[in-house]
Amino acid sequence: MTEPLDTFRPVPRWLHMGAILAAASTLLLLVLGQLVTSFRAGMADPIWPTEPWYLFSNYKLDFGYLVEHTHRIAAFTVGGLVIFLVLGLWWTEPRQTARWIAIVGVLVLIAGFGEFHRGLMAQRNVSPTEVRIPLISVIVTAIGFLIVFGVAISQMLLGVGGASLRILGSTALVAVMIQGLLGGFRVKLNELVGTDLAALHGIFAQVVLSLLVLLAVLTEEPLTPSSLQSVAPSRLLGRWSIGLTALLFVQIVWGAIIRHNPTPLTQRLHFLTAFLALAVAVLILRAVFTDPSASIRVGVIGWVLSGLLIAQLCLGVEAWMMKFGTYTLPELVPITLENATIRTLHALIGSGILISALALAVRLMRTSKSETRTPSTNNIDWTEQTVAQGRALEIAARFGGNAP
Amino acid sequence: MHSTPLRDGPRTTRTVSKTVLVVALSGVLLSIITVAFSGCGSQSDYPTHLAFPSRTDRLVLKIPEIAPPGPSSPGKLEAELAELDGRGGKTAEPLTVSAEARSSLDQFLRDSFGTPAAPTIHLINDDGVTAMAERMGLTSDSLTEAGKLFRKHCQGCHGLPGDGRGPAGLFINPYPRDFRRGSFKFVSTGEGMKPRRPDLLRTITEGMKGTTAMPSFGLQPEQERELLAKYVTYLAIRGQVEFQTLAEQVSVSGAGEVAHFASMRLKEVLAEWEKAEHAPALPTAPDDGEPRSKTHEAAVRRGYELFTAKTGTECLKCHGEFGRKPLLRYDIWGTIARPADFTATNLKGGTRPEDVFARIRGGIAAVGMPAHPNLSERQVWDLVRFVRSVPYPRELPEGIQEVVYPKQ
Repeated sequence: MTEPLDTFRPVPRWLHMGAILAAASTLLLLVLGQLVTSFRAGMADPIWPTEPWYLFSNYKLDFGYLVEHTHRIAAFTVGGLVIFLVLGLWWTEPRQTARWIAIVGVLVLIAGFGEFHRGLMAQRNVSPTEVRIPLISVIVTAIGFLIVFGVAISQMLLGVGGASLRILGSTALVAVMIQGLLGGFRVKLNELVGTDLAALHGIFAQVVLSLLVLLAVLTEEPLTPSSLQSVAPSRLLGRWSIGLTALLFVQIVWGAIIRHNPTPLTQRLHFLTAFLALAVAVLILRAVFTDPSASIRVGVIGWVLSGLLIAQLCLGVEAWMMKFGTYTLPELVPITLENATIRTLHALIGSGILISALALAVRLMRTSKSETRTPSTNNIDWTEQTVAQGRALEIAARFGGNAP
Repeated sequence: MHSTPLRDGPRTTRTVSKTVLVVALSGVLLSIITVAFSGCGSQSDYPTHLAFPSRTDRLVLKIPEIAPPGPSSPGKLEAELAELDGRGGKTAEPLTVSAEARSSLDQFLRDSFGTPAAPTIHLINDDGVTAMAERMGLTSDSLTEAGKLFRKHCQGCHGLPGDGRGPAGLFINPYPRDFRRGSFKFVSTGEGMKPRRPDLLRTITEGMKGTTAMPSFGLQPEQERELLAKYVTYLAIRGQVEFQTLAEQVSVSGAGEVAHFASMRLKEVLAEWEKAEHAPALPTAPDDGEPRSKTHEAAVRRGYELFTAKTGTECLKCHGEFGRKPLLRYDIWGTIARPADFTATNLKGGTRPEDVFARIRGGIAAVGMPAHPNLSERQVWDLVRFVRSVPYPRELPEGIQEVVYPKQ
């Protein structure tokens, strides 16, 4: 990425709050997911898919069952929030025709996906080898996907304000759907690829969380030019921070594999990547703290990241000792409240570090384009100016010529 | 302003490029060294130094005759077992056996059954045992492969030695099966007998969904399921030899030499398993027509009469209200068994006609369900027709439906 991020965002405040709510809910969902893994409750209920209300009427008062079902209920909730978020994002599309086409596309996508689930639900008691994939619903889902992303990409090519946000939001919706399928198939295909899918489900959760955090950060009110230093922070610093985010994601991948299937190789890679990530993080944080312009942009995130890194080091050592430093095979170490808490916290703080690094990178990458924009395009308010701009683009597209 | 290596500029750019190159090359070198030391690794291979742990959990020697106070709770297995003595049962701690005897038993088990990485069944100076094991397909090679599958799929709940105390089993109710008594509930071989291989395969293939946490492994290749069944057999044989030897040591003062006793138990247990493989097959279900046909309805009526009889079968004694109000009882593992609820569509032991036939005919010795050897084959099939119709009110004849599902 050589150009700064587009930061012109005609997005209302309520949408920004919705993005924060979705990201926070996803973090809570991750908490529950990590508890499911720590307490080995992934197969507490082998029935999938189910209707959302099934989870309230079919349960046992077993801890594992309750954790796993609460995880599913939270997943449904997050799905609903993300749908609301995406529809809200498309509602802010200035061109009316494109707006409605995209919204219809989102609804078709959701309907197709829902019908796919319904088709699988009807075959719940059928042997997995005899399950028929509901092809029509797959086609409908694909049509919805093409409509939404077709509109979104065309908007981006036309330079419509906020197009990148809508692509991001739509991607988050698709990611949430994929994540749901990964979790479900982990249960459905347990004996074949259950452990592998569990690890993939955990890894992909970081992608979903990152997308929603990115949305939350990009929809926030940018700093006004007067509060910024005249010199923008180093672009190199921004790129290194993106590199750090990527490295942290890789570290989480090793960690997820260790959680579910600790091979000797991944154990070593997790250790070595931890050293590397910490070194890069220290380098970046030092640069941030010693650069006033970077420091202002990053705000409290730098301190949050620093604190999380320190905590993660300690938790990592404890988690390692508890899993690998005992008398028996790691998978046979008895689950206690203490070791489950340590491992869960270690995984969660890893996610926290990832999204902190991501937020830091985004803040650093936002540079001069947004600084030269006038305060009247305060990004979080829906203003007449943005409406007018959108309509002008629409007219230009319909009748040819350039928008004023 | 402090200088940092992350500032823009031509000289800094050259420095950063070199730094990136050095870091990248170091990373590649480290990766090569890492792979060389660790290999791609297969987590399913047991470490060669790992041995089966000595048994230290409580031995259940006699179960109480009185009914338990209530159903089991997850995570309370050891506490429930500790209460058995106070309720008229009898348990013992393996650690009360002399250290010498325990050491001798551990040595015998290691010599005869190997380790998780190298499982085997043989007896020193007795080729007959090895031959018997091989006839049952329990060769060292197959058990080694089977052990890897067991570690991957089963160990989390059933534990390393098949003790039902895997970490994931802590939150499961009913508890995962402890194979070490050598007893299995759902057998097609007869009262108190060992299962034949297809009995184990059926449980592995179909699981026990809806009633227990045992999942289905039907998607696994048949060969792998066969291997798992063999490994379960291996753990059951090993566990039973260990259990019976320890029980002998705690129960009988001045008990004989441990290795000799264990050897005799090994031969007997193997012979029981081999006998089960050759047990007569279950009879084929008669053609009673489709549900709600006249012949089928007549069979259901006869089965209902037998089920509700106050003498003889006395099914309602344990399966009160057709299973809705079961009489809880202790099973041989000291845990709490709940007689089946026939109004539910799932039965743990399978819902096929032959599954239900086997349960009625042979009973379930481990939980105290009596066998019914004196019932004729027709009578048993009548009971089968009734039991399989109970979950579906419309399949019950008039008069019986109102009894099984009284209007509230």
